[in-house]
Amino acid sequence: MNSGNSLLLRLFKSEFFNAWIAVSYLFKYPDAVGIQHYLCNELKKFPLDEIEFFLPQLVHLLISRPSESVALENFILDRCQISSHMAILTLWYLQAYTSDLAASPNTPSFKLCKRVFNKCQAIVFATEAPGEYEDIFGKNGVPKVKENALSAMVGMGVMLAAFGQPMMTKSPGQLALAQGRRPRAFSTAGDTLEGTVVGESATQQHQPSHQHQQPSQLQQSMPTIETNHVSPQESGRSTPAGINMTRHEDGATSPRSPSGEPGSPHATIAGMSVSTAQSIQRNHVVTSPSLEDLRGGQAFKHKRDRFSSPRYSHDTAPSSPISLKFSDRGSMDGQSSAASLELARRSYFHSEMQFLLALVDIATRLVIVPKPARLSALRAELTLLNHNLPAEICVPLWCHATLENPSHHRVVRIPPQDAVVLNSADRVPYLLQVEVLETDMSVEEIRAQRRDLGDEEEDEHRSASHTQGAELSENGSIHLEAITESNRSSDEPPKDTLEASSTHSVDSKDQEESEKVSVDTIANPPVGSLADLSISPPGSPVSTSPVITLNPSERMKSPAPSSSPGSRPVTQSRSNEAYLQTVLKRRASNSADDFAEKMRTAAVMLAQLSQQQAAQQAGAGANGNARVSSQSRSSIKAKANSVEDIRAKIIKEMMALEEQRMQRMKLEGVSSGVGGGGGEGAGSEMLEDERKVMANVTTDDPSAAVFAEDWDAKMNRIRATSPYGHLPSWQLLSVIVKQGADLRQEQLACQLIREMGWIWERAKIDVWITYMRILVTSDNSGLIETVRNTISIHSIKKDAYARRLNEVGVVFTLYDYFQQKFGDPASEKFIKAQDNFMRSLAAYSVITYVLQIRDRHNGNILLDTEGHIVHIDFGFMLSNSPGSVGFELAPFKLPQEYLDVLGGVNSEKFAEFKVLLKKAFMAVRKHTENLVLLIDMMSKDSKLPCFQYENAAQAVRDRLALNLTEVQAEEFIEKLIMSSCCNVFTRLYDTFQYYSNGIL
Amino acid sequence: MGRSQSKLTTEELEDLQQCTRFNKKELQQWYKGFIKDCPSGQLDKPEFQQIYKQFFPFGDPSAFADYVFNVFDTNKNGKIEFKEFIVALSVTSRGDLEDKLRWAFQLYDIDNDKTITYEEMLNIVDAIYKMVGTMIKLPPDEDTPEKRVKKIFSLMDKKKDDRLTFDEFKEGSMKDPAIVQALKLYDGLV
Repeated sequence: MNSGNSLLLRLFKSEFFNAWIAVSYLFKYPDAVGIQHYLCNELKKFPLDEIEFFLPQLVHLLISRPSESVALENFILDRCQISSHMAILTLWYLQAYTSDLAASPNTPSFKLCKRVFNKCQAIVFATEAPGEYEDIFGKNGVPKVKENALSAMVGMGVMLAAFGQPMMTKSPGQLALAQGRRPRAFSTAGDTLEGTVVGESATQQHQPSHQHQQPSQLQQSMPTIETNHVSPQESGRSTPAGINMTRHEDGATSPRSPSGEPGSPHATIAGMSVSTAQSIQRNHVVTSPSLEDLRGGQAFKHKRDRFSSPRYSHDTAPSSPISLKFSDRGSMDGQSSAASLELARRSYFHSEMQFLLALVDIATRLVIVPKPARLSALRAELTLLNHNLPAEICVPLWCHATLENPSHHRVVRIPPQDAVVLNSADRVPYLLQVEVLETDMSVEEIRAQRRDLGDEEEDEHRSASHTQGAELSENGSIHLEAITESNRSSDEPPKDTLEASSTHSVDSKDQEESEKVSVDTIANPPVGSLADLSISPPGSPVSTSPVITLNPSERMKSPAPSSSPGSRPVTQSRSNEAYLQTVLKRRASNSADDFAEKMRTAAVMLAQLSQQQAAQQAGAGANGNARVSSQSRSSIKAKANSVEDIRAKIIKEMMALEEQRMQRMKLEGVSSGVGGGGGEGAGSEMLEDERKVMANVTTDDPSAAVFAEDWDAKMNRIRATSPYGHLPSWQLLSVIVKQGADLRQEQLACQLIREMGWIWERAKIDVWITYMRILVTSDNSGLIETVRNTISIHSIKKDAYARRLNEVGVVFTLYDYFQQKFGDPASEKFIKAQDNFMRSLAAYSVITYVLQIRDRHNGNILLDTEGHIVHIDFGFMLSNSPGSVGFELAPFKLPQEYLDVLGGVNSEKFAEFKVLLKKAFMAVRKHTENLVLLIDMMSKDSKLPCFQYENAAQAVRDRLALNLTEVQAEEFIEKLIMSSCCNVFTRLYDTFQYYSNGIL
Repeated sequence: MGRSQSKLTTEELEDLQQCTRFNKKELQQWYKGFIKDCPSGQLDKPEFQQIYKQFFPFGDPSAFADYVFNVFDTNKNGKIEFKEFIVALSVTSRGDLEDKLRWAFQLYDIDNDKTITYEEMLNIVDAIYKMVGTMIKLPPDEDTPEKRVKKIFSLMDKKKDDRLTFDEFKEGSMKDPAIVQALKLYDGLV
């Protein structure tokens, strides 16, 4: 063992040692105390962004493998102390794990999670962890050791060794102390970490009176963690955008809470109570700001007046004060300045988390708003939010601040007009732009600048909010009684709670009272209150001009070459030109594909089965409580079995078809002519049913226009209208806010894609991918970065049919789109786009194959304005596949339309594609362990759906065919490509998606 | 002692209060911790070595662990019981400098003849270097056990007789801030 470990040390000390090796050995030796401490110490030497990359894995390792060693816990907390971003990210991860583990509160994992969560929270808010510190600090404020006999014996031994070699005792001594502080299960202090304790102690910490009353969305039995006194009256009005709120000319407000309890701190709309119910187990550290806060424009900047230099609060708060406090307790002097720094820091974190939670809460509230009113409601909410900006907050992950350069960006504005609700089944994610400034200016200076700009901006702003956000004007005359009346629970008489709130000063209300009231729940949440708001329809500065600008009549027949022939690559251009004829000929032949017929039948049947199954499940669920006779139960079971049988039969038939196709390909070559289209043609050239396609097309989709707008154009447009746009450091972020979805799997997928991107970059393989940042804020909410200048292939096609760009009766393919967007296939523009497409396709083919990314319908595949393909939505990967479907059996998606864009299977471009794909595959294969580590570390006891069915890490290894020689592996890839080319199952899935979800 | 029980008896408590600077509550808490870590109520040499291996994964701590074990094992029965442990902890965390030095002297005075010979010192220092391995980079004049022991003797061995008496050991140690610092490791923390 020892010789092995000294080899290990040699590795750790070698030039090859990097963060990856450190993390992988942390994972390999979770219980080896000394190794854990050594590696964590080494990890401190790596830049924070490298650590941040591994943060999901490190947190998962920490929580899923409670070990003897405290090294990892200490390391993570130490990094949180020096980086505000890290602290916030970690806190949210831990919160998500707390929810995951809530069902088993007696497990070591849960206890550990709570403990670290509390400590992390203490760091974030510069409070002391509950019950932890008051009796455990010895002299000098250094934490005492607990009753850990073994580490004490080592510590004493180290003391003895000091005479022999004092230099050798320093770090082992600290190690023994660190281990000695490990909490013992039997000790009382610091171990009674119940969820409520967190809240209480934090609340006590914050007791000093603050002027602005604070967010107040409380959970049952979960006292608010809020910094300030919450006036029940005030909090009772935490409603969005003016619901339940009557503003009269005289300025009097009559909030009506459905429960009739004026003091109910529960939000008075359904969305709030929905989220409350969902998050009852969760431990919201910070709640979203109440309407009153938002209205007051102070939601994200409370307490700033309490310290002299706001800039100080910003630039230094996230890094220094805490480390000052924790690591240097003994030598700390200048108590008062440290205290104000702590305040600053707390306020910073607090505001930042509040801001992000406010965004998530909007998504929650929108759920209950009827679809047609969602967009207006969203814009009204954001207008309100805007009143609280600019603020001293950044968006972690997007913010570039580092330890060395702790200058965080500042959120200054959210243009409400550019936010849009996205189509989704039962959730309401939305897209918004966030204006930030990368500047050293303080918010005051920014505001001053803005004032200097003149009043017209302000006026414009005000008038906009007047029409948009019904709730905003101080003397607003918006009457909403009708709505509130109908939604108020009938047995409770309305009370004029404003009266109460205006007579009680905020500070006079004590915490207890608001806590007591917080337990009340709302029985009848008003539904759809926002729908009836008399908000004028949103003005639409968003360009609705479609992406495709070519006139349909010009399409294909007489392509007008747009670039000079001299400058384009001649061979590619010639071959592209020739291929166009092939496609046209294929189309002209109009061959009613035998495949297409079978495909259509199979897809329709599968779609029906899947609906049937869903209905059955719903039925079974509804009968859950009722007594179901054994007979009917067995009949349900029989039905389920028969459904499975039919499915199996269809799949088998399709297998046979696929074999035939492969056979034919062998005999006649790959180009043996399959159809070009997506689902709507069942893979054939001909549209199945034009009317059905058109029915899909007319579904309203406001997001399409937003996505269609060119990013630079959008940015310039927003910049031109923004009061901050003239500032040189102005920047725009574009994110999707999601609620009701666990984004951790998405995040893992993006992380894996990023890792592969790095592998290719290092190997200098010229493929193209894009990376999306994903910010997890809980186990069911978060932010996703949008990919600029992209539109889904589904939307592209929908738009094309809507504008009848297709030939009558013929499917509109990606190839058609390329010609319309980029011009004649022989043109330079087309050739460039084709090359971009090829490079991105090679990368994403490897990615989707290796990670088994499923549900690859055209709604989940985007195309950017340069022709790059981008895959999104990683709900199904590694081991899980969409519900009842499971027949996406092709290695990756490579339908005829992709081949057409590349110029057909005999083209040079396709050959180039194959070569590139092979190189990309071989590179990933060479660095398999880079990927596998990330997957392996996340998989133990994981709640993520992608780890539910098999050993995901091993399966990745298997897919990379590690047992093959290099030559064999290349053959293997060749086979993968051939099998993917126009794979029957790819067509089947597209057709299935078309019939069941109308995806083109 | 030597058997595992969940709590200390009143007599045991009284006895331990006599020989340590801990109160009853502290003794009970530490006893719980001790029993949790060694459920049999005692530790033998291999177990003791194993603990050191956990903390010093890159070297070979077995020789040093054995020397330390002998210091703990005051009744020389080959086992460390709770009493032996807690007495040592009392000295190291709440004892004065003289107490600590006397306790430490035992480690280096392997044959217990009240003096530390050059060989004895070399044995211990060698064991320390083996335990820590190559993890810590040492200055060139101390990078082998021999060099280090020579240095120690040149500093402490006033009489130049290649032996250190307790007084020499004490005086020499107190002149070295690093040693004094190390002896305060547990001060105020237990």
